[in-house]
Amino acid sequence: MSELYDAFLSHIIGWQKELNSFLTDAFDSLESAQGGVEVYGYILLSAFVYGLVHALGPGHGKMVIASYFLVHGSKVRDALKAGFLTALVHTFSALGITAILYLFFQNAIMKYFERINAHAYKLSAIFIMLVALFLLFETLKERRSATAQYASTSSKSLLKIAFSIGIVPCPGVMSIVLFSMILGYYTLGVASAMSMSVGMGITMSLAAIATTHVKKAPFLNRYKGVLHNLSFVGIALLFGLGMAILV
Amino acid sequence: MKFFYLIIVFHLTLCAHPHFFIDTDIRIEKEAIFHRWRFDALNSKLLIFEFDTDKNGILDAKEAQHFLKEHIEPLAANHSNLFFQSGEKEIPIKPKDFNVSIASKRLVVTFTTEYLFSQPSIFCTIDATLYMAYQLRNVQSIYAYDAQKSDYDFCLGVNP
Repeated sequence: MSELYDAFLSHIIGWQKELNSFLTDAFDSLESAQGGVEVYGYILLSAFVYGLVHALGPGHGKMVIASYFLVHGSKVRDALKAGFLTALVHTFSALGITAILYLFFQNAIMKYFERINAHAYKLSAIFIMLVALFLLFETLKERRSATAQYASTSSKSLLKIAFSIGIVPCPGVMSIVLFSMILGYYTLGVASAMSMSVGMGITMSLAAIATTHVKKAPFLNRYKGVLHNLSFVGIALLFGLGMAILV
Repeated sequence: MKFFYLIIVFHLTLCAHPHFFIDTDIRIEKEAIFHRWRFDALNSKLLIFEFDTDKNGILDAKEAQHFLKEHIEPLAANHSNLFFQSGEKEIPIKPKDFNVSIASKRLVVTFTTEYLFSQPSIFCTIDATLYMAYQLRNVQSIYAYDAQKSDYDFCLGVNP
């Protein structure tokens, strides 16, 4: 299992490296005036694929989203919304911080970027622990009510989930936006970030949708009791994840 | 307890992903290993923008010192992402002679680890947080070696 995970991780990282290199080359060709308008499209497409692959790798809160929908259960539409909202918050957080760093801290961009990222992780850890506590409350409530329904998750709850995970600025987005800003392509940088965000949103939504399907799978009805108890294990792991990031 | 640590480490890796992609060249001599880390083009651009303050395309002594202090010295807390093992024993190694330069628009860090290969040994370059992904590109060695590598870390088993 561990070897399989290592091989998967290695592939994801290898692809990211390739895409990172494609994007750099494309910007280089723009800079040297060798590329035409088609290079803009190529950059946006590469950023989209980069987003898809980037979110496949570790991080980006897929586990938190998946745990949420596995324990809470919800409609596919809500899972889709949660994935895209998280990707959007993740991207806007990166865009905002990048703009501030570029405008006011040009001599220490990477230093502040790492510091901000570390603090954002801690903040996200606290939110993840709060999500775990909320899920515990929901699970206990569900135990009391025999007729649990998969009701729509309120927009407020979806926003809370998206905010708790997405608050950590995406380093991938920050790097690409900073890179394009340094070269003077401000609009293209922001457009690439948005394109990347759509790619990440698709991957994250798929993770969320998959878990809503698992939760609803009819053959699992037989094991409802076991699954209910397993929910507590999931919540404990989620809480542990928050603790591990925090300390 | 080991299981508990495994779970924590597994979950920590779930929330990290590489930010720097580093091509690594290794040269093994009788009493030392020479390391060359070449940063990816994208991050090189960002780092050069920040540290080449006079924008002359060269990192002078002061700029290089600044870079090493900000980005390389903090790695000491994690043994500079280097792990050496001789037999069953882990060997503490202190890298030295750090240098940073710009070559073909890439940031290149070189350094040395002194080590006398008296028996079969293993050394690895790995960042457990996955913040830096190390890809082994080239090895020159006076001894026979086996390489085990992925797209984010590698280990070399050296047989003197």
